[in-house]
Amino acid sequence: MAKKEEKSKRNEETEEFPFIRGSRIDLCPRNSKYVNLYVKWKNHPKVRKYARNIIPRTIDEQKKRSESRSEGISDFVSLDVWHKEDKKPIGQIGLNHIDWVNGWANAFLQIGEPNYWNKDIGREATELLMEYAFNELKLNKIHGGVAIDNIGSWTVAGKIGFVFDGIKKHEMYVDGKYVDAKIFRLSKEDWIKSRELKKD
Amino acid sequence: MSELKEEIVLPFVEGETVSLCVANADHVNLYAGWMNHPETRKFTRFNMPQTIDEVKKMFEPKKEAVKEDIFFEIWHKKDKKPIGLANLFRIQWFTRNAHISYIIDPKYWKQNIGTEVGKLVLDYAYKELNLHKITARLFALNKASIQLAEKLGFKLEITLKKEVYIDGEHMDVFEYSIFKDDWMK
Repeated sequence: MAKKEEKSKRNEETEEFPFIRGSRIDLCPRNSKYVNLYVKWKNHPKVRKYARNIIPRTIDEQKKRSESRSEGISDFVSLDVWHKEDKKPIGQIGLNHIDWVNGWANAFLQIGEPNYWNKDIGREATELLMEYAFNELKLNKIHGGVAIDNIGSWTVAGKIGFVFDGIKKHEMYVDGKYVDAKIFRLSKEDWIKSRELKKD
Repeated sequence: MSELKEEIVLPFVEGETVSLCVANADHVNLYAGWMNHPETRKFTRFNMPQTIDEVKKMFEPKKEAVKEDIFFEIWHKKDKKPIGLANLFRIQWFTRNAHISYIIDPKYWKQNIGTEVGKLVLDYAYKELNLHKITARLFALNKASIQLAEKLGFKLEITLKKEVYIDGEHMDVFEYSIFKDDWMK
């Protein structure tokens, strides 16, 4: 009994609303309470480089973004990556450019706190997101595009079973030159196959 | 100055002595101070008094789909405080041209900070925004800024004769420009 009370007290303080539960992380809806963290990630020189944020974003601008929501079904889903033990959001993950008719979407992931990099958190977050995309949103295919030297990102994609689709030349402008992007896709079939392989 | 919470400092581009940070609505009185200070505003466009409300408006989120102005707060890393503003404005995305301007607190003049700020902003403009040409409008008597522009590689492009009225007489205005190819060499 005492343990349950403790837990609800803790939840009240930190206001966690898990939308998708994982083991080390949950995926939660964005919370305007954390606007300072969001804006920190958007502007942090290391984090913003491959997240392609090249315009400085003030706190007021960030606040405004969370206000303007389109009505009805949107073409994107944005979730916080919530670290369960440390009780705080450490990044953002989601789908955008959702094409409901054709059944595909683009996936994005950004771990905003560099000290949570290289801990397989990206992988767990992406797996949870894929489960959601295929089993709840009934999508058929997920795309991801990654700058060719953003090694961290395409390692995650590879681990989960994303298939390398090709290279888009000169897709982004980074550090003074045009760089190529690696494009990955994960179809529902490939996803199911990779889960089965995992069970073995 | 109100207590500066550590987390609210948001460096966007890191330098050695200074960083370019995101503009901070909490520092609007500092910004207004520099825009009104007789020494700093002398060679800028601010010959009308700027109220705090007017300055606040400059930093409010705008409805525009694409940005025309980008402001940076110049943050002094060791002294842990804002010491000026730098910005790109009149950004024309078709021609990829923009104007550049800056204001530094007089207490930090003559410390080569202008040079570092100039380098950080130009690096950002060319390497991240993929711009083509940056222009600085400088009043003829603004020797410090003219020297700085030349040091950074800007070249005098045109002279607007007797263009502005300062301290009781007309003064020329120079337009100095620098191209991406020159900067990236």
